[in-house]
Amino acid sequence: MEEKRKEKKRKNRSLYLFLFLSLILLTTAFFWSVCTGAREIRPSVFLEALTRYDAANVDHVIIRTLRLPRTVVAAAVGASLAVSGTLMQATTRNPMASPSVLGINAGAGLGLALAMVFVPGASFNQTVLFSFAGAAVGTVTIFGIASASRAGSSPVRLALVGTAISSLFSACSQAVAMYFKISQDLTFWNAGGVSGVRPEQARLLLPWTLAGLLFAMSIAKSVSLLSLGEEVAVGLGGKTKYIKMAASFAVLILTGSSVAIAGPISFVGLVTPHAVRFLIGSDYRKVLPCSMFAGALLVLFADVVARMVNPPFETPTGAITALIGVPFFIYLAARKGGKG
Amino acid sequence: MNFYADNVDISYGKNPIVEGLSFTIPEKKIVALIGANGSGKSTILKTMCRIMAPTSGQVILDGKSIHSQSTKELARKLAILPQNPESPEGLTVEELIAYGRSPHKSGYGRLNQKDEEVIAWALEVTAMQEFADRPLEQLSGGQRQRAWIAMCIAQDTNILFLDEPTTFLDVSYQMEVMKLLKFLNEKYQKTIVMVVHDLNQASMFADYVVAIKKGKIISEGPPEKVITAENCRKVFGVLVDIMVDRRTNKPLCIPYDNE
Repeated sequence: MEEKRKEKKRKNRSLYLFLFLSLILLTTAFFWSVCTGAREIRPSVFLEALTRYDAANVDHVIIRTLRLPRTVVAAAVGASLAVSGTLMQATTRNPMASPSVLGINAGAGLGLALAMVFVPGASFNQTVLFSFAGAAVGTVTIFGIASASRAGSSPVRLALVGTAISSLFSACSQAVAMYFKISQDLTFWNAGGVSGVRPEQARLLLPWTLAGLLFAMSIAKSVSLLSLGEEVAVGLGGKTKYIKMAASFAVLILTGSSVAIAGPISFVGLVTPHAVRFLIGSDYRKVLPCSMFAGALLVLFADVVARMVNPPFETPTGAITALIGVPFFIYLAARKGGKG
Repeated sequence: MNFYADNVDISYGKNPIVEGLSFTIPEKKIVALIGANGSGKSTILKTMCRIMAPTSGQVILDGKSIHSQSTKELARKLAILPQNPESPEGLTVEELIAYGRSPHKSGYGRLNQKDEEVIAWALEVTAMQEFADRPLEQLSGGQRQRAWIAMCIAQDTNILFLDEPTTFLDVSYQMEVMKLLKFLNEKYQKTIVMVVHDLNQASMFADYVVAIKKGKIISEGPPEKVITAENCRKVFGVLVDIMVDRRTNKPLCIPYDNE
């Protein structure tokens, strides 16, 4: 019994260590992000810009209008996508599930393309609604196909169908873009990145992100039941239909809002939950909050790298995360693909 | 405990699987559902434990329809082990068993002293202590099945449903699992309802056998009443010799031909 207690403590310790380290790294990445770029700014100046803002000081203006929004949005988008991916992997019990693989990002993209065409000059919140609608169509399509056919029966098949749907949505977006001559806007947005984020966009995004993340954390226990399989979850008293709907709803809010602002930053939702599970195990009550921090860290880091690769030009953040994500995805597919 | 199906119809989409089923689960007994593939035995099991809903009729437990009771409340009365369950990669035996406590928890589900004791007990009863911190995918088939059974008994319910608990296990693990169920039934008076493929296992371990064909109960009762040459022909379409096991005085059946 005594040994058991120690064992338990050791396990919790790895969780606390993870949270502690990710907080430190997040803080570091945060300062790094606000201070790095075409113009280097010292951390002390950053603190000054927050406490004693001077509109005549160029550094202060850069921090307030460019760097800070960009940094906060990178973290918010990373957390949102990672939590979405975690929710999807848990509820579908499919290690390849994520907003980008299952076509939800592309759905949101199509929604946005339509918004650009039909509601030019829409406010950010209106754009987000289009993005939600697109994400919802994507979700309904993929899960509709999965439950109506054999497509849902194996992880690889679901991923294939998702990829197909994803391509279809992207093709539609491109067709819309060509026809209405918004290709340039759309290409820029499609590359995925947070470089052009404006302060007011950041302010509009945050309530969505916070609400979505809080909601996701509140259903963590139910989601972890569902990760044991639907029948086991019922046996343990889980309301599976309700949990699935709640999880999809959280995914819609989180993915829809982040895609609307930063474009389809790929592979964050796929890679993060795997890395986290590898480190702290499969209990989603722990995996969800840890994914949130890890995802924020990943995108924040990728965004800083994006600025440093080829200065003074910006490399799209989506390209950096894909660069990390693609080899990992292939590794997963090779290792798990045969299963099921 | 008063647990029965009352005139239940079940269908998959438009295909009726079971029609007009009425059946009472005898308390504190081991009940084995037997029947050919596609006979509807799993469907009946799933409906009795609320995984599936009947298209008409009711399953009543303690005076109330189980399909209208709170699923969490029911999870304190009956535990379910589906066929061939799969755990997320990396989940350890003890973490799995801890999930068995969730019907008794609210909020984020922090374990208290009582939960810890029940988990320790479940580990001990299923002889899984030494594997407590192992991920499930590193265990043998029999150990894994014992871990899942441990999760179910950590739920601390009087009733246990199992769908083919011995499928995919070799014969020594089959014995291990069946003996464990028998022990749980005898020592803790748990009512156990299971789907079994092997007629001789049903005969050896069950107190009450229900033979099902095309969604209908052909015969039910103690093994010596149900496992007869006549019923085997009717239910499975096989011709068998029935002998009596001298150790247990239970029927033993040896198939020799198809009908």
